[in-house]
Amino acid sequence: MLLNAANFSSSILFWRSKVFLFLLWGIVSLKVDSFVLQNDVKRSHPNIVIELPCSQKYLTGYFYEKHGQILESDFHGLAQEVGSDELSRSLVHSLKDVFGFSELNRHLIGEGSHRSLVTNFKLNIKPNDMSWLNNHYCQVVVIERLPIGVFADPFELQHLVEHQVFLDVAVIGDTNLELPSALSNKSVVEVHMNTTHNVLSRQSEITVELPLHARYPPLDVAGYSKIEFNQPDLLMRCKSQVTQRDFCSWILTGWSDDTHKNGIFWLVPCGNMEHTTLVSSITFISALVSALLIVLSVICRSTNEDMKNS
Amino acid sequence: MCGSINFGRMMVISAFLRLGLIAYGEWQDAHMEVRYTDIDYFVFSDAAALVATGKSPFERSTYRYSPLLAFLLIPNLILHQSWGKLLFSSADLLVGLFVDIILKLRSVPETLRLLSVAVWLFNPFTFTIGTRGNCEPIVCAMILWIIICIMNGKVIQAAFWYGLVVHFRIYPIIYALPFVLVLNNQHARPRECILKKGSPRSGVTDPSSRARVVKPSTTSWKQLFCPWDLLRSNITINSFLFGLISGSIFFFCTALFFKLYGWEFLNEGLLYHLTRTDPRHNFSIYFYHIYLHHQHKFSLVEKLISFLPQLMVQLALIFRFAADLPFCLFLQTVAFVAFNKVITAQYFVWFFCLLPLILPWSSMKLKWKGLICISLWMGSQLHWLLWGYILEFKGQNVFIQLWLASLLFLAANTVILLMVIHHHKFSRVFSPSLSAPDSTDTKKLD
Repeated sequence: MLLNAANFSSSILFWRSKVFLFLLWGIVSLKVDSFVLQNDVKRSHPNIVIELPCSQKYLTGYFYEKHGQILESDFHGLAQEVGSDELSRSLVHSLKDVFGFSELNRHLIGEGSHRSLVTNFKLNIKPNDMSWLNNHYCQVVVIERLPIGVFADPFELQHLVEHQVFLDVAVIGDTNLELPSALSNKSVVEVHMNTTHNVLSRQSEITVELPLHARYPPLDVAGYSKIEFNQPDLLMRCKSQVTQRDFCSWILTGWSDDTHKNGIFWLVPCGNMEHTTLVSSITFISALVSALLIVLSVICRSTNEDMKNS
Repeated sequence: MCGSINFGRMMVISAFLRLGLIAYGEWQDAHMEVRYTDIDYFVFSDAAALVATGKSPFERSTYRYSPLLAFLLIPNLILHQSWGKLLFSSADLLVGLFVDIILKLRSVPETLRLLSVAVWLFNPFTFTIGTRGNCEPIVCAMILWIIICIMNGKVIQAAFWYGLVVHFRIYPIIYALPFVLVLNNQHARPRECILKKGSPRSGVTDPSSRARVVKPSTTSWKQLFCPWDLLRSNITINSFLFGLISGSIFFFCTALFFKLYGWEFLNEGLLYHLTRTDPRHNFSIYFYHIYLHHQHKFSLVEKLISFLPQLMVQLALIFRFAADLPFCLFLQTVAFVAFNKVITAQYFVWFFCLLPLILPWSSMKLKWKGLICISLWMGSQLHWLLWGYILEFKGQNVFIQLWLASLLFLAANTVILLMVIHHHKFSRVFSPSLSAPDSTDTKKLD
């Protein structure tokens, strides 16, 4: 009797563990199979591939030259505009889930008018498609659409490129460093980073630290102006090392910017329009008073001299 | 007593100091996050690179200077990137030399002269400005050379350099009227100018020569109210030549660079400085007013009201003090900077180079009035910088406090101007009568 009970309980245990293992395997395999689990849910469009000649170094630059505007999120439209041929259509198909981005984290570091926007994310590569990646040279591209209240200094970013912090960087749009927000236009920063996919790592972590500066915001009674950052666009730019085609593929893997988690805010002090009358009047009065004092002292001095001379 | 320190040694020490700083600057740029070199220097170098390839220097954003500067810095690419800094530091040393020459021409005793030159050569503000790659020392050297030329009667040369310096930097245009007035009050032909010995701090002037001298104050004020007399008596051959030649040089440069670079040159190099309304915080009292109004245009009335104090002060100073040329120029520059719509730290060099020229005639002793002036000026600046730091680097809304700090800075400048005027012993550079030079050389006892 006892033996039977022991047998029964051990068999239950055995099956329980089996079920547990099976579940575990299921979960792991699910996770492995769709490592962009979070993004899969939020994916709003399939993979997009845009093929451009490799002489076009910047996607945003290309769009700006063609349209005179900043590239918004309509990559699908841009892909259709560029057009696709058989080769790129098959490329789209073969690239399905080759790689993806996950765990996007953003935050601002620093205080005051000069801060850095730090973007952390992971690049995941499916093991079966390592051969594809080995035949291609790829870079990670981060497209950061800056809100009007901030700007990036192109010369500072060039300095970072020279120090090999970034592979390449471009600022498209309004790069005037001096104008206040009310007189400025939007700009976009495109950062190219190196990947380490050649090493047999299926997941690599990439950090982009972008130094930004605040413009003088429009006036507000609150005393502070709130600047909100949107999600960036993450792409891969790949060039085939095997074929002779001088075309680079810009690959977008369904990272959607509809999410508003990771909302980042930057509070910039701004002037208060209620001060206007007081400030203007006191400014002019002070200038006038100082000027009169100086003029009076000059006149007094000259009358003294006259009295001395006469 | 001070025999071991002579002018030559001071120049050598200053030269080594500047060379050392340039070398240190190169090291700091390469090894530290914060650069020693001014951002403007990179702007000049980039513009020089553009010019060397035949393009316009104005393609470099924020290049707002004369194309001449870009041409001067072409050796940055050929020889070494510090060529510009070496050039500016040499101009810096030249300023020291010119100060010495001017003070010698006005018969200032040696000790006093060396002290005055030291005020320029060893002023931490001035030696960092050249070694950081700022082009202001060149402008200062040109202005002092113009003063020397006028004192030596070389009107044509003075006019040439004046036209050039106004093209280079617009602000010396405020010196036009004093130069013209001085050239007229000589009543003498070129090369026959007689220099009245300054007799610094002697307190005693030759009574006989005074009696012959036309009273400067009443004449000037009368001229102010009688425009026809002004025109009639003030257009002599000297001032006419001066105006004609300097004007021609200025227009020639403008026309040449307009032909080469078009409207970009006019907008960035010239008009920008005249219409500049930068709402970003700076020492000027007008910055907050400009920021509060930047979303609307400024009315004509507002522009005139802000120009009025500046105009009043400049005219008053010119008509009273023009005969004592370096003093007049110094006061004008301090007032111009203080009442300007935008004030940046590099503008201070404009009057620092003229300060050594007036020190021998000031009865202000270092203890305590001199020290009070210095601490008042530096203290109000540091106070402003503190609020500026809190605004820019801590991100707190301290606009009102910063604006009050700039009002305080204007007040400090005004007080210092009044004290300098009060303690100055007015001495004309030229005596209007053709009397023999005063042979009494009174030595000043420290």
